[in-house]
Amino acid sequence: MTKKLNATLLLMIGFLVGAVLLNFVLSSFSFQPSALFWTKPGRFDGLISPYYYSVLILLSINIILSVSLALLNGFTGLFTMGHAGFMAIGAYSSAYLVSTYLPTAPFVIQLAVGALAAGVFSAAVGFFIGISCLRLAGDYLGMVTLGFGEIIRIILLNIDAVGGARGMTDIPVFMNLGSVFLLTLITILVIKRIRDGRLGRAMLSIKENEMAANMMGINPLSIKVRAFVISSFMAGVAGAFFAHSEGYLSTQTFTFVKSFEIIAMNVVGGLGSISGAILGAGILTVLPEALRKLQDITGIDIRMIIYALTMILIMILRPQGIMGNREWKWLSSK
Amino acid sequence: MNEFIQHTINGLALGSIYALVALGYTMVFGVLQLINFAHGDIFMMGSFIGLYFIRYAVPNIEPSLGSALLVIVVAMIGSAILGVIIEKFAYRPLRKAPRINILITAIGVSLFLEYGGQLVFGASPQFFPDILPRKMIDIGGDIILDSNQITIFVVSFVLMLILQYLVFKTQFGRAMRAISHSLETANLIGINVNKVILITFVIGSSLAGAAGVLYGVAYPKIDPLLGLLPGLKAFIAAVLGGIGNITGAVIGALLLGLSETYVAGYLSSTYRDALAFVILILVLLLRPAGLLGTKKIEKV
Repeated sequence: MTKKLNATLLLMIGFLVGAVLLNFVLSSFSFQPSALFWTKPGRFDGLISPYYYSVLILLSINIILSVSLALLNGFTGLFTMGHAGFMAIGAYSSAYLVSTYLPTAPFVIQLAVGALAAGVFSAAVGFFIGISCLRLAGDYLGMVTLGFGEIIRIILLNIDAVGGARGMTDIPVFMNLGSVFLLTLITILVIKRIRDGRLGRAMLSIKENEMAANMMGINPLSIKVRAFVISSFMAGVAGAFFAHSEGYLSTQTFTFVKSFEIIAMNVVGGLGSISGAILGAGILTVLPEALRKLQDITGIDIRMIIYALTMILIMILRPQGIMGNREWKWLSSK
Repeated sequence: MNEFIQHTINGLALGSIYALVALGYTMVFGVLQLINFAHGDIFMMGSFIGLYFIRYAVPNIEPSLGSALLVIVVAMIGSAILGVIIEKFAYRPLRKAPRINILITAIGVSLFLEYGGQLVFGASPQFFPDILPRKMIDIGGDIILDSNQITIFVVSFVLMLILQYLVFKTQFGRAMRAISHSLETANLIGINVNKVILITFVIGSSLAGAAGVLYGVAYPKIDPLLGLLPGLKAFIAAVLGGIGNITGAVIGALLLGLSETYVAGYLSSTYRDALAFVILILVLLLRPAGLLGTKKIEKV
């Protein structure tokens, strides 16, 4: 237990030291990668084009969403279809708090307060939903969470303070690539630690056979609620990142289609594998963007059609997903 | 009171369209335990098949009951073919795969139809032509009965009667009910499972196609994303009635149509869409098997 904790800590410290060193070396050339951490996107010209910049941020946010859903869907076996709802709560609560109370605070404080509030609000709702859905399993759980997700969205749509149907504008934009990357990495490592720890083993046993797990002295209800709370916390944080990198929120972003997208990331990559969740998020984020070029050439928008066909084909040709149950070495439990 | 009757009439018309779509959901769930998310988009395609048939095959169609029936039959055939293609190429290869895979495939098919529809038909809404002579009948006390609504009632009712006959009085229906009890056992006693599933898709899709045309008649602005919300609501109606249960789907759909119209009429139309989901949650939390479903007990 402590050994693993140390390894994770070492990895994180190593990452930071490495980043500082790399920064030092590269600063002797013309650009400073530390700019990745401290500047706002607007002052980023020259390092990466704004387009790639926004795609990379979107990729990181999708990885957080996908990995957090993997905890529920892949490890605990709770099939939920309302993840976009948690993301919406996080996005709106952080956007509202920061733009109302902290519009001029330094970005570190904005980020900390916004993301924390987003996570806590979202986790509170996750707790409530988790408790009320405990009796359900399988498809029925999926349907109820789908319903909750849509209700959250419709309620947000009817709150005037967050823009209602017009959408919420003028949200402070302060997310930058470096902090998003770092927090994504931390999320991945936290999920890995949970999976390898006592809680994760309990979750896996519930997924395999709930009744047997109960016999072994695991309380399935408490583990399930914990899975809901952790997962929704992370989805809420991802929502906050999304709000503060886009600067504009519309409830149309958080429909059940978004929830399906996150499920698809999990399944395409391989259900029950963190690496798979990351890979799936990568593929389903990059593919539509990469196909944009095709649209420029052909002049018609066939990228979403190719996206849909890819989803179907992967499911038919490789039903266990790309990674299956396997993990990349740095994410495997040994 | 008159207002209430008016809302009831409108709600029943909306509910019968939901019912036709919900039947497809519930039948496919019955045999495959699959929430066929593409079903709402087959409903959309039915609407568009009707529209394009009128536009290119019979451009000078006279509004009459006969022409409406012609369009409905064409849309039913088109949707049935579409349903068969989807079943054969997307769902059949996955028969042995985990259920979540088929669900993802269904979502993929749904996205494919939506964006394919935007490519072929264009993303902007199009107007569904009048194929029925429309009359507003004042039945006293400010209650207006739209002749289109009568057609919707009658057509839906007849289709449901035919379905009832098919499911409960024919050999195919018995095979289908056997499969919904246990696919493996049905296979063992010599039922051609694939054939029955295919026919189930044919029936479900053709009902959705008919519903698509009726929807176009009642709400003449159609676009490729039209199937999304009515599809989801029809699915909720199926859950409300007890998914897998045919009578339940019809009752659930009528109840949903009625309650939606009442909420829109007496409260606020912005919460109309939330209502369906509230119903979904309440039903699943309080009575997961639905109004008419029976509870399955898990045995160790």
